[in-house]
Amino acid sequence: MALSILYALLPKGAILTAAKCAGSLILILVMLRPLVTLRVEDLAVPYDVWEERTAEQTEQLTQDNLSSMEALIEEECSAYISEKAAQLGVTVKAEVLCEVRDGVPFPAEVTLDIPYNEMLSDTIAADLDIPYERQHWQEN
Amino acid sequence: MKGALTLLLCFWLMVCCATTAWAQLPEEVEEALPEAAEELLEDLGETEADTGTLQRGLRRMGEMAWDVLSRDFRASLRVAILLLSVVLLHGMTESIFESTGGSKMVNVIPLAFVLVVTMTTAGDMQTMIGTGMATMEELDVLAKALLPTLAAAVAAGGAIVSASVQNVATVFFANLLITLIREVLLPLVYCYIAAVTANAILPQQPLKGIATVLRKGITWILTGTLVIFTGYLSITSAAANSADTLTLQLTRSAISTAVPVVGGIISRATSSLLAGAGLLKSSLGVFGMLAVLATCLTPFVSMGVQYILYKLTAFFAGLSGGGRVVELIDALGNAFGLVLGMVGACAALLLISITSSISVVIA
Repeated sequence: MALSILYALLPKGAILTAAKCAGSLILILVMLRPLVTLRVEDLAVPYDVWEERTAEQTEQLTQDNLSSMEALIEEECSAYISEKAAQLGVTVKAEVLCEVRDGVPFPAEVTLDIPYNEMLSDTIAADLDIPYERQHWQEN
Repeated sequence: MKGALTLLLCFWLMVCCATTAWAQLPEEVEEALPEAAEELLEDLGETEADTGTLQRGLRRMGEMAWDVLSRDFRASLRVAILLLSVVLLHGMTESIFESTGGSKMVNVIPLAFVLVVTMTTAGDMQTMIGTGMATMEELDVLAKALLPTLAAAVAAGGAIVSASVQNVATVFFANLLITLIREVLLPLVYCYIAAVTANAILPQQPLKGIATVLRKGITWILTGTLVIFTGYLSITSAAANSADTLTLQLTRSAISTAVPVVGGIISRATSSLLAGAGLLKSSLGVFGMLAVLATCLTPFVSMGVQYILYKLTAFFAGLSGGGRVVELIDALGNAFGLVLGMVGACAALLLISITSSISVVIA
């Protein structure tokens, strides 16, 4: 705006030509100022950081998924054991723990709140594939 | 125009992907909503099966858009009429100046009228840029709450690598775009406004080329960022999808080695997880789209109205004779369009990411 006023007021001739040259340079500098003052590091997206965050996120989401699956499977297995125990005339509360094999949680260990029951133990070993040594019974 | 078409395409894909059921939305997502969007989407986040959730949300937005349009149209029309009057007065003044021996005096009439136009539109310009920047910050806050939750829902559906890649890419590009807009493009808009104003005063219009370069440069940068983001997402999604499919096949192989009872339990657990994840993914997708549109609604309508009215003013003013003042009004309308484009680019980036996330299906 100031340059425009100056051009309008200056008489035609060498002075006006010089003023226009100087004014053009000033205008170009003003327009390029955002690019000159730009901090390139603010825009930089290092691929290593990107890759690392993707890996972290993948790991986090995988763990979250596995935790949800484990909780569901443990609950279902406990309910199954209680149902089988009821068929044998026994009331039991079972706590099942899972182990991850090839990315999938499998029931691996169980703790029961009743003394050893042979038929129930066989059922747990056959149906849920939990070995005898990993079945923990309450001692009298 | 291209931005508007991209938004329409995302909207169409979203409508196709929307399911009939609805799930309870996470609290952090609801808390991240801006006030205007919260008011618009009130009661849409409740747990109920509702086929009309998307339609209800869009209907409410339509009503709100009409209210904003009516209010802003009246306010902008006053400015448009004022600018038209200035152009007519400028034409009359120039004629009088020339008929009274104008060639013997310094002609300051264009300078005076350009100053009048600039002062008339200065308030609108400041408001527009402030509104645009505030909207982009709100979209950034919404994205930071919505995207991780959506990624978790997509991952729970088995697409873990796809979810990670999309989430990280969107966060990076969103940060990049907003930083670029704040540090480079908005200052360039100010430069553009200064260039067109100075160009209107100077007799030979030496800055016309610079103004055109600035306008086109800003448009290309915005378009280029969106194109690169969409391209990256398409390419990496294909690769991530293959990785997720392979993982699923390995999981199926592992399950097939289990005894029948355990296999049945694991299958049921997986089905429950998938069903819940699918429901949450769809809900978040629809809600996310509505939230993004609701956040942009008022600024879009306001800036759109001003852009159209400035262009129409320049058109009608041009019928009375044209001139540098008319070109200035047209160029100021373009400045509104540039800021509108920036907000549109941020919204489009989020909508593309949301659409891409809820479209992920593992074979």
